[in-house]
Amino acid sequence: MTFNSWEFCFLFITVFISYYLLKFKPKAQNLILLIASYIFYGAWDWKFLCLLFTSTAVDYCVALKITKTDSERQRRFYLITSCIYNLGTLCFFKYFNFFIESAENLANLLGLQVDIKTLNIILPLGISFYTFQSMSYAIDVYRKKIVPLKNPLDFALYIAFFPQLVAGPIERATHFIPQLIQPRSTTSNQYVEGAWLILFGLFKKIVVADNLGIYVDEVFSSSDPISGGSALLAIYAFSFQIYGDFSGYSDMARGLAKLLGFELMLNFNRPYLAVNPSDFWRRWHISLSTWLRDYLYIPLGGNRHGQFNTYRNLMLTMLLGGLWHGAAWTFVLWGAYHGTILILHRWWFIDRNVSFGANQVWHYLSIVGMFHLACFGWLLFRATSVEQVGKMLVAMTTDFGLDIAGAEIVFPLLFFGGGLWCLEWWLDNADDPRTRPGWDRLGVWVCSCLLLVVIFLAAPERRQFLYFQF
Amino acid sequence: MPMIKATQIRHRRRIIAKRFAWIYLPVFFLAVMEVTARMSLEHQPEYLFWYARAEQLVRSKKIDYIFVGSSRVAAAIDTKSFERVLSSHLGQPVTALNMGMGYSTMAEHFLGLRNLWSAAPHHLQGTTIFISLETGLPYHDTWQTRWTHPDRPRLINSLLKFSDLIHLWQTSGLPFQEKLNLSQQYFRHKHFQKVSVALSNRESIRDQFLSNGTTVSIKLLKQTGLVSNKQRSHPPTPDLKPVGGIRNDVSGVKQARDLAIKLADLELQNQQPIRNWDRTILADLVHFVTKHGGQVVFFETPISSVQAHPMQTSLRQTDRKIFEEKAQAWCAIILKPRFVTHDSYLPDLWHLSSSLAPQFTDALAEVFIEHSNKTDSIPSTAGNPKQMKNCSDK
Repeated sequence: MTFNSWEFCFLFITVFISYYLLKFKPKAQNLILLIASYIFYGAWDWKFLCLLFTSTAVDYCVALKITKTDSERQRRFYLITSCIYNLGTLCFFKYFNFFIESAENLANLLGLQVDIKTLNIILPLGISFYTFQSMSYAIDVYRKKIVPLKNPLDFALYIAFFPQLVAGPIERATHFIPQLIQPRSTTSNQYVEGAWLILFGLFKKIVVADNLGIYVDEVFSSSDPISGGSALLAIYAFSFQIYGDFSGYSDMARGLAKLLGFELMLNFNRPYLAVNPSDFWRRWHISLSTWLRDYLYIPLGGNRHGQFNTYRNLMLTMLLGGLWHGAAWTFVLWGAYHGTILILHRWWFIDRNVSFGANQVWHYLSIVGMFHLACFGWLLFRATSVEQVGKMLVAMTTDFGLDIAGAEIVFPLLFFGGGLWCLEWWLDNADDPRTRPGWDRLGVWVCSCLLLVVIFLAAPERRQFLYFQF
Repeated sequence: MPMIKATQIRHRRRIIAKRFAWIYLPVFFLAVMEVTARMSLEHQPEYLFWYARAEQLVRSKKIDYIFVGSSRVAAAIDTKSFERVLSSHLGQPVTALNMGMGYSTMAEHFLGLRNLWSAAPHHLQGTTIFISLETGLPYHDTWQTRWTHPDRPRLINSLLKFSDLIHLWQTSGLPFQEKLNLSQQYFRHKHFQKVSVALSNRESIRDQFLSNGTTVSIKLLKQTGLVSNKQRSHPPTPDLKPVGGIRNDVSGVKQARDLAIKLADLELQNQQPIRNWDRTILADLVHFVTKHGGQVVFFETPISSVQAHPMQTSLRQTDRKIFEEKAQAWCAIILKPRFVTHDSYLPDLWHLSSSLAPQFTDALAEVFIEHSNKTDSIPSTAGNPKQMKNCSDK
């Protein structure tokens, strides 16, 4: 069940009506949301609900145990239990086969004939998201940043809240739990913002991402040799596809939550306007990058123990961030690439203190440069194998022509990708577009056109959200 | 005071007009789309597809021969060649239709043929239905199995009638969710179409928009010299017609070859007897056609050695014999065109090369004429009345 399906539409309308009827009864509202969340998750595969229940139960109990004891040793023991359970589950479902296959390949490379059987494991939907969310709760309780929830249903809702359960944003307990336990009522501003975010999210997902995805898949799944121009255009198209897909989901999640009176954290802040790698990670998948910063980079020492240790911490964080996205070497490579450009940027601009001043031309050049650096990363991310990365790079450097097949990408890329880019530039990432200059005159035209585009130019095939697989 | 009041009223009116724009502007846009769609889409022949398109044709002229089957039939039958051979033999023009379609099922063909007959029965008097023996045997689906192929579930959309929908819920072995989807599609297709042509043809509008935009952009790029006309560094396209869902790009051909090998292996491992032909949709189709004055002819299509291999087992040989007896009982003939097949004739191991389709079709037409001469029947509309009578007596 995805947000752009009729089944979800039916579920949400039912939830919304009952939620509205139970106004001023937060406990009943929470119960309805919890039931809806489990139906939403169970619709994909009800068997994996057990995993969600267990994850919820483990961290609920761990958090209570941590607060009940004063012994630092015991507190740490409970925290480690939570981490082992969460990371163990994640490793088993997501990385077991990857590690086994990698070990087998390494052994074969060393001349040892090893044949280890892999398991036929199905990756539970959204496991990477809810595991991180659940783990952060236990860590925050351990750090005494929050008081654990007494009501298990409230905690279960924090983990399973359906708008963000399967693809984030990875909410923090400090931000979300206070909203959960207080009586809620949706303001008229929230209704407007929610409706806008849903419409804009749908445009990003079913119009931009799904349409561009058709062309991207054609190039990346082609066994024919492709020209450099086609490869480059496909990478540009993918950069808009993944952005439209993921930020579209996040927008819809935030919009749905707003209609229910919740505020979820901002997950994307126009990342293709970033001027450097560190700026990019402040704008792209903010909930994950801040999670990695707070629960991995800073505990590793952050930038407090000298230049080398800072670079090491950056690289480790990005490598694990890359691996979080998927169990394949291309993701590790993607993480390593981002780690490297972050280190280079830090070395050049912070440690060596090189500055180009506040020059407007330099600013725009930086945006273009960073966009291309990100695009190179997307090549590593999207490629099906390391060989494909090599092939496409060779094509781009030796055969830079544009054939008819490549030229077919130009129009959809300009129309969908360019359209999205212009709209985002104008909207300046405002949740409430009414605050934008000119909205008063143009708003109704923009919304009518968007509605028309969503209705008539949505891709015919309903595609899964890319980030569901992570 | 009256001045202030008038200003206030004007201001209020402006606010109301602004708010009202949130309703009338989207509605106006939708109305423009609807009018445009009605004006353009309904006059395009491509607007109708497969049996729906044939239905339009059968209303205006007599159809003598209809070829039924999968994409193999779409690839192997060249209707123009067939019409040429039969016309010169009979001394009168004949019309043939190729309804071969990738991922089609026998249920879909049954419903499609039934719709054709109900559209213009007088134009189908004595029509011969050619049904392909896919890999030695025809489709053996029953009404209790799937009605649609999982890879093309929407193909059935234009064929269903309301009574079929009830039948589908009662008998079909489709999963609940798919039955639900089909029902929803049915209502969308049949009824929503009347309400809004634009909304029920969103995909065509999108395709048209993208194709026009792409054409213009390529033209501009060519003019600026940024794009070459040549399909540089692309290997030659395999000799396959991209009809009925057939892919003729290199990776599509490779996928099809891999699939053919995989399915042949699976077939060899899990061979089950195919015997109970009376329960099949095919049996219903044969009875339907003969009851309405038509005749059924089975014919062998060229198959690769990979797919022929599983047919050599003793189990399949027996199945084949049983089917031949059954076909005889149905008064249907089985034609084996004199056409020697090599694997190189089928680039993707499934479909005959487009350049060989006329040759195969000629061979089929000739064997059909020969058979008709032998049984002293006219190889077109009348079938063999004597034989028919004998069969119905049985």
